[in-house]
Amino acid sequence: MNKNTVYLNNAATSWPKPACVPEAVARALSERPGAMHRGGIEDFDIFDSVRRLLMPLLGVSNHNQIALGFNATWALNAAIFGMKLSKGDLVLTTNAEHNSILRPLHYLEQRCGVKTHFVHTNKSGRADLSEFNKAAFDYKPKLCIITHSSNVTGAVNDIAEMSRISKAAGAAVLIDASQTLGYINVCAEEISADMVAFTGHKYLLGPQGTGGLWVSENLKLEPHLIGGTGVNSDMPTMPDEMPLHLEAGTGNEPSFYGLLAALKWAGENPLPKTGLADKIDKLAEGLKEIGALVISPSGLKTPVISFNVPGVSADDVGFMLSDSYDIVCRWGLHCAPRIFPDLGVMQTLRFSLSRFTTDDEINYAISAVRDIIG
Amino acid sequence: MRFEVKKTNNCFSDAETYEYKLPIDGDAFLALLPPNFSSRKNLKLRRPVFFSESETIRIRGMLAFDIIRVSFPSASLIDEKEKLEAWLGDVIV
Repeated sequence: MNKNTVYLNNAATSWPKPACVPEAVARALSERPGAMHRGGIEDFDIFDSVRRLLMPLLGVSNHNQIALGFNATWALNAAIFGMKLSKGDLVLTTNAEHNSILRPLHYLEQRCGVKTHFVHTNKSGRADLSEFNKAAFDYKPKLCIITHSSNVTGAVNDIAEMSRISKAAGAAVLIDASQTLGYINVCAEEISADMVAFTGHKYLLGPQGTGGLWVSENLKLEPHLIGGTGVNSDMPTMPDEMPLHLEAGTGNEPSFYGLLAALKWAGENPLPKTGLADKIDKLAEGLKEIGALVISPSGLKTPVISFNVPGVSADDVGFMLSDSYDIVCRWGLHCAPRIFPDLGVMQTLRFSLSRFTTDDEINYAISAVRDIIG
Repeated sequence: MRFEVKKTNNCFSDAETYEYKLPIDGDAFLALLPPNFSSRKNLKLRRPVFFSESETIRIRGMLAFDIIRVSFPSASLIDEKEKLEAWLGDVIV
């Protein structure tokens, strides 16, 4: 990557990582692999250590209920398919969801007759609570899937209220915290969620290839991925106990060493939330002042901003930002195609910041868009 | 081989965009384009760019670099791509 690149694509994958993260991955690759669930008291269990550090961020009390896997898509598939939904069941979700939810639901609809009802968002990408409430009681869903935050606009949903409504309607609740964990805690048990899916490579600052699913002790999922676990090998089925129940195959040990290093680093270097919120506000104001059409959610939001330039396609603006200005950002549908009619636009450009984004980089991005607007 | 080609992808399944690495820069390429293309340059950017369009093909690139991006209509991709590549083969030596 060009050393002068301005990286504003943190909602896809955060970069840079704290220096300890690549160091931990490299060290893990050069050391003897772990014991894969067979270790004793003196054996270090990387996965167990990661689970324990995730507990306060997820707001859960039993680390063994956190299954670790490749990414949030793995986790969401484990949750959605693990629910054993069948013909006639209905899933209630929102138009803000990512394809990692939309595509499994489409598959279930096509193959199994499971229906989905989508709740609209407002013009800034936040799910409509009153519509959600009505749909929950009208349709009596078996499962409600709620993104904690739109990956397109950064609007954070009121997952506490949506979870309360879902439970009152008799549904299980799956929260997609891909865009929030590491930036906003989930408080899963406090809000009575049943499952929380997350990824390690965004605001948790870990490597790609890490993610997980927390499952309430009150819910038993069918394993979606079945195979070896290193233990109970004389049994023909997956072990009943969590997390092994959902963790078939050898884990991505080097990357989880990286995630552990990131979690420890973040614990020692708490996120300056106000500073990052100020930066995204500054970016939004700067873009508005020069005539960009900015989607600005009110209230709680992640450090993400979507915008368009009047009279120029997002594709052309993206081309100019990347090729002419070395700004790494994302444009198009952001893998969340259903949200765009609700936002009233065809597609957007997205800048997404991290704690490492500097004021100079924000000013540079605004200046680049100003040049493009002309 | 006078040029290299690679398909690029974006969010849209019907997008047919290909990158061509040429032995000349964008400015020289622009001068070779036939009159059925309308072109404009944006010289105000950090690295100036150009956009060119015919009735069926859209081309963009940077004036000082040797890679252009060509978007073809999905309905007539093969014909249009073959025509462009034949033309490129004729004019770029």
